[in-house]
Amino acid sequence: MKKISTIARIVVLEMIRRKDVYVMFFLTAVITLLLGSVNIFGEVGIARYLKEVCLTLVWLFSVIIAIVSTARQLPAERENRTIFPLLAKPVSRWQLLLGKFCGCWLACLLSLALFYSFFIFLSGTREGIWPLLSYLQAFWLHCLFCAVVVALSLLGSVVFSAVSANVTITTTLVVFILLLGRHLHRIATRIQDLRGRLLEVIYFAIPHLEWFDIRDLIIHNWPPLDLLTVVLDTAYAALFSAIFLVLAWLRFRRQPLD
Amino acid sequence: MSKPCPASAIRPAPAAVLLLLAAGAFACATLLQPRMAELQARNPTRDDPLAMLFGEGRKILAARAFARADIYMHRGFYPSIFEQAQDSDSAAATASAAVRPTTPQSITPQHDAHNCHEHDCPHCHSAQCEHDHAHHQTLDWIERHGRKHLPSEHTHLDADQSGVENPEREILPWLGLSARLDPDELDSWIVGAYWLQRVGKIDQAEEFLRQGLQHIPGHPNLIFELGRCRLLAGDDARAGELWLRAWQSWQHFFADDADEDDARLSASQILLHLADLARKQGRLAESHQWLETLLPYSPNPATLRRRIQELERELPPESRPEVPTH
Repeated sequence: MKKISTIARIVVLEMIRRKDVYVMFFLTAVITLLLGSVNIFGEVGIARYLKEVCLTLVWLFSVIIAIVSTARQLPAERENRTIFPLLAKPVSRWQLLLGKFCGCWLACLLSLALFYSFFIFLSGTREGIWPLLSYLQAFWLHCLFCAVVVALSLLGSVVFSAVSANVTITTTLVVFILLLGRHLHRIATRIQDLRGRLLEVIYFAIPHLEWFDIRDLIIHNWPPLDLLTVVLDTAYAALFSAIFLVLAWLRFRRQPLD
Repeated sequence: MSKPCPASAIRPAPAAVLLLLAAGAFACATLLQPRMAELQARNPTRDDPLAMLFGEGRKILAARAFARADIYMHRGFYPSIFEQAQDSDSAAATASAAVRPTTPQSITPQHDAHNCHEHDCPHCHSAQCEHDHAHHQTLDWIERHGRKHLPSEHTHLDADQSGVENPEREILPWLGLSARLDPDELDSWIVGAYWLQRVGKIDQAEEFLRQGLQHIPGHPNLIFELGRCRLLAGDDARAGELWLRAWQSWQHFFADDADEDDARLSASQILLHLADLARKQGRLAESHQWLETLLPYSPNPATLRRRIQELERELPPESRPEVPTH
């Protein structure tokens, strides 16, 4: 456990040292505040369009942070040849994978905490209401989303040889699921042949990442989700993260390192 | 006697070079500026940065912004394109379509009963107005669970219980953006002005409509809405003048396609408001005449005839004056 936490801490420190998150946060803040300064028919306190823009940027940047930072972890260790002393410590390969996963997820959590703090402050001061439970749920579900994406990206980093290939394919997959995931079955029912069957199989096999996106509920001030739903979502994310991590380990354990 | 200076020793001062270049640039600018101004004058969107940025693509963005306003109106509850496609394909889906907004028309003023004096407005009896809380049928457990993460109940902004003051104003940014992106689209101006009226911003609504009239000069619907603003401001006389102008404009605008649905709806609105105002001001004969004029355009003539008959009972037949303008 200590070995895993050490690896995770190094990953988090590395991400803190890098400037990516700060740049993305700065961009989010500037764009949102600029849009917030627009005079809309002399009305002050119009907040939902701002919440939408801010949350969209947070989601966009979280996908980038989760995928890009995870995808370069193992290739960077290989390239710098630091993986050899690391595995000679001795740290087993599954500990390395788990450490990298925990580190990347923790880094995502920290950056999300920063983004959500800004979002909550902005929407609270603008709207005058503070539905903290809803915001907390949105934050937690977003963290779960990042866990699945980090695990998926880690799997990609042991499957694909180049970081760019992993980033491109994982991003495409995540965006595809977010946009179309929930509609696949509906589309499949309209296609009667083999393609319809295939779509149906894909629908039931993919992780439904769109579950973790409750932006519409947050933007339009719907009541919070019930606890059971959040618990089920947590279990679902844990299951898919575990599946991807096990697949990554199965591939990585016999993979030559050079 | 001094030595002749070698050519290589003559070096122009950097300041002189800069000055020469600046003078050259200034001369070029004075030559080119009139030609550029002439070219710019030919471009009607020269001062609009959005038009410069997006070109004709801004019309697509305007439609998206307008649809966004409708989504906000329904607090995020909106069918996806796949659900819409399924609804239109499946005859069995009629009932489920009835509970979901399918077009941005649900945010138009026609959606509101305020305009439907005759209660024959097609929107008020359309599927969009059924405030049922039934859900689209889910296909499996994944979709069923996924629905919990989305707004899945047909509701409107006025039913917002979150404690936010005047939630209806939340759709204004999208309507403003839609009008700005595509100023030739009538609905953006009409709907924007309507919602500004709803949130009590009568002056802003008037200003917004006047901007619309700059882009679509003399459109009867815009003039009619201006009249409504004046009516809401308590200026009945000016409202009557504007509606009269709207009717004159209607006859000019829809001269060739008076039988189109849009033209008939527009005529109904203008003439009904003229009739109501005349009645309110005690000019029963004039009100009667406006209703008679409306008869060929009304989507529900039977209801209108009953209304005319009721009015006739209050009116001595010999005192019916001519309608001032046709």
